[in-house]
Amino acid sequence: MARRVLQLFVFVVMLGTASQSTSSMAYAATSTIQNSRQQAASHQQASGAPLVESQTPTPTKAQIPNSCCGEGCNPNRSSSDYSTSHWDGWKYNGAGQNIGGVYADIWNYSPWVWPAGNSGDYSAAWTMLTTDHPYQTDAGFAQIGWYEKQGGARSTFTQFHEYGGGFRTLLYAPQAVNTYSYYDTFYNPSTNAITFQVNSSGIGETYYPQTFVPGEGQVSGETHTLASQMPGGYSSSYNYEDLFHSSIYVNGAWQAFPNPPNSGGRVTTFRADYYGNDNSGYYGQTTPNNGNISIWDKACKY
Amino acid sequence: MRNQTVGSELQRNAALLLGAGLLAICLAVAIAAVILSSGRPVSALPVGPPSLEPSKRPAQFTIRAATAKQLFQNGLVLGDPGSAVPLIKRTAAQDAAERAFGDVVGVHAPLQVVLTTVTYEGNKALQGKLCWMVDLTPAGGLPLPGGSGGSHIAAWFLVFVDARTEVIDLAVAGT
Repeated sequence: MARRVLQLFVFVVMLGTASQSTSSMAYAATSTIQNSRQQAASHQQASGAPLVESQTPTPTKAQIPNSCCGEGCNPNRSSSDYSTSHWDGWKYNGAGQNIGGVYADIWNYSPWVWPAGNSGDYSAAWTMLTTDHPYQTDAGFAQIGWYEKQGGARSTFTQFHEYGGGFRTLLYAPQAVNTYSYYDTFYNPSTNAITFQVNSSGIGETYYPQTFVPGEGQVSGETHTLASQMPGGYSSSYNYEDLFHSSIYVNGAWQAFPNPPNSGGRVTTFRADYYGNDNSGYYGQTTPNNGNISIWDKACKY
Repeated sequence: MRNQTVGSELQRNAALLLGAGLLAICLAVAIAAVILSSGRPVSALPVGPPSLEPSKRPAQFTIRAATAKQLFQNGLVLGDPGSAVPLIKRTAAQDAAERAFGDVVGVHAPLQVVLTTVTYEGNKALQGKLCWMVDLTPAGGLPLPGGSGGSHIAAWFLVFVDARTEVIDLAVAGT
């Protein structure tokens, strides 16, 4: 009897061990698959767009107390155009090329923002991947930058829009005002993934565009009405909103936005509203120079 | 003779009882081993690409600012937290959300605060994660950039606060 019990005991122990080793084998196999996936993902990333911008040393710039904290300058313009976008910036049209990203070293300027309206207004500056398209037309895009509401409340934001779809916006803790930050928008064609970084740090957000393949990089300031200040003051270069080191990843390499008109027509500057109206009477910008451009509001000294 | 027979029967019964006891212990050990070994890989596996299949246990509440379809179109699926217990209080989550975004959106009294699980397609770390959802949608919507197609007013703005760490996992606005 004791022998039978012993045999049964040994059998049960063997059964348990076998089950555990089978599960361990399954776990090991699954782990191998996962590791392969990770390696494949790394390989794809390596063969696609780089995940860090080719940073150039950040220039120094004086602190501008009188431009801080949402009190840059009230341009004293009418808000009757509320909900009309205005832009001051430039873009690289990569039609026929493989575009893998856009970035710029953007001054975190704090403009004056019109306080009334539908939940207040905003002013912003950003980098964007999109497709070339005329004004007043829809296009898919992804962008990252700073965003400020009235009173100086700020966020870093990303936004994603599919052609014909809605807008998805994520808000994050802001960068400090009166500092430079690299805002990067990347596209990896191998994985069809759009990702973002701020100062070389990923923000953990990935979009998979279904309706567009990025073919254009834009870097710009933006307001939502003429009543709000376009980032930047005209007094001196210390007061400009800098969109420095604007760069595009083209056919496997980063390059600064070429100087127009020597860019083969690929780089154009713009100061316009949603309807395509010329806004150069309201907003200024420097002559582009090897990826650097600065913008300002002509109504604001600081 | 009878005593000897009774004694041997007692010994046999005792042996059987001992054997049955050992068998029960071994079976329990074996079952525990199987459960532990089969459970370990599942919990240890890295989270795969987020799945946006409808939750098996859909949320038992309604988000006032947005429909489930609107959330789904923006990559969000909320689910019933079941009996999950948050480690941080509702008020702490609400305070964290307001500190981070109250001034930006101009809202300091949330429309709604609910415990939920959240899966978000844009972030692999958010797959069925237990969060407090704090609805900070401004009364008139939230004006946001909108590319050259024109700026727009977001219809809702939700902040998801990790119910265990108080970290803000996601602050998302949509149309």
